Amino acid sequence: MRHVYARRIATAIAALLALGAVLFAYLRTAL
Amino acid sequence: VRASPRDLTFALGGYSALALIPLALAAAGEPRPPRGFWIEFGVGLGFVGLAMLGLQFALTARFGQISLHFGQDTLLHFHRRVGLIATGFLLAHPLILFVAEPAYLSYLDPRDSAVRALALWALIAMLVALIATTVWRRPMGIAYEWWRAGHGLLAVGVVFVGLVHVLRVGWYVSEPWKQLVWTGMTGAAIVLLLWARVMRPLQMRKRPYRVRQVRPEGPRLWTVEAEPVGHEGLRFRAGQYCWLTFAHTPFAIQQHPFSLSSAPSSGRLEFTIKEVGDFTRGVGGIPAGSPLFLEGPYGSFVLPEEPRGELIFVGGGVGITPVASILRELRARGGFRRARLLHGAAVAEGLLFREEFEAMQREGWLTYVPVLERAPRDWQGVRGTFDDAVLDSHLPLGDNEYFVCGPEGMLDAVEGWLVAKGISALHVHGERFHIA
Repeated sequence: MRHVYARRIATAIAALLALGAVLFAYLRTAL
Repeated sequence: VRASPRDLTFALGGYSALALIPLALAAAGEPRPPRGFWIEFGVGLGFVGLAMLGLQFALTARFGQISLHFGQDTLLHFHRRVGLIATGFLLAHPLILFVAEPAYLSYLDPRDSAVRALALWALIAMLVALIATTVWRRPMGIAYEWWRAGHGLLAVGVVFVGLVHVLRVGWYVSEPWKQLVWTGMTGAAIVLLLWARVMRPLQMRKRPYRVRQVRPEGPRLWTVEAEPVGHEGLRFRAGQYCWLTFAHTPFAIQQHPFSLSSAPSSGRLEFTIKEVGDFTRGVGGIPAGSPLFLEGPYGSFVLPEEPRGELIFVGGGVGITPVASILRELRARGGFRRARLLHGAAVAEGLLFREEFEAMQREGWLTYVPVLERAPRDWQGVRGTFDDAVLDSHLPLGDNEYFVCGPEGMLDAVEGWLVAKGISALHVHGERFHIA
């Protein structure tokens, strides 16, 4: 069962990291 | 031993923090003039993607303790998914930049700079090859061993050229201290690979084993007993597995994972192997005295420190081997309060260790339920596969520990059934090897 969670967690973390890139770009341009 | 929610939070927090280091580095230090949202976003994705690739090396370095907590197979599933997404980020990085500012296309133009264009085209090609050979390894007809060697080389190539690209562009990494941090992080990733592929085999060379005997267990089923040569051997927990190299050197390209089927307290190191692939087809013919090397033990398919309720095992085919190790260990220690084994096979001869399990049943602590797909007429046990009907009638629900090991499809069916019935995934233990 854990492999399903492993894949979901990987996807969630990747989404979080992509959000980090969005935040980075926003902070670099808006501030 | 299993990861508690706290361990998991810690690990995931640590992973995210490490993956965000490049963005933090870019934001720190001398302020750079802004270049527009999409360019910054594209650059940010490149940084994050490269960091994720760097962390991939840690996930596959096979650290025994991490493997015991999270399970190497689980880490590999994580590794695989992260790798696909990171590649998406890394390919999106140039695409977004080209759309936002077509002038960036000159990076891939050999007339602008032949070396730079060549390096970046090679980077893209290596990245695509890394993923394509992994996702379509079988259709492409690549043997596991060659894939593994190529995967390591391509991965090193990608992070190395990636580092050079970051340093050469230098927009966010112009200060020497940042260059040092980037080089250090990339170096650490490559050292992890060297550790796993060079240093560890060097250590293994000092601890050789030889085949004591190979004995038949059933149709196309063999037990290989290994014995240490000039050292004490290894300590393992019932249910774990090792990587075996049948060769004169641990650097041989063939390395395969097999579960230990013997009980740790027996002092024997036995691996029960089914002939399925190219390599395993020759197992029965390995002469006694042949050299071999063991890497491990690995795996988290072990009894928890404080198991709850009944121990319920579901084993299919050769997936029974780690279960056999656990049951043999329980027997050696004097049994467990209660255990149940659902044992599936296609035909009766495939019910590995059946007599032993029946003896455990007669001792009164194990309920043994053999399940046959193609049962003979006089068959007293259950007929069928591990479908909902069989599971509904023979797999008791409750606050128990569930151990499931077998082919991919069987694992998915049984684990899915258990979780659908409300059993917490924390108490469903599964092990699968064939993910690559």
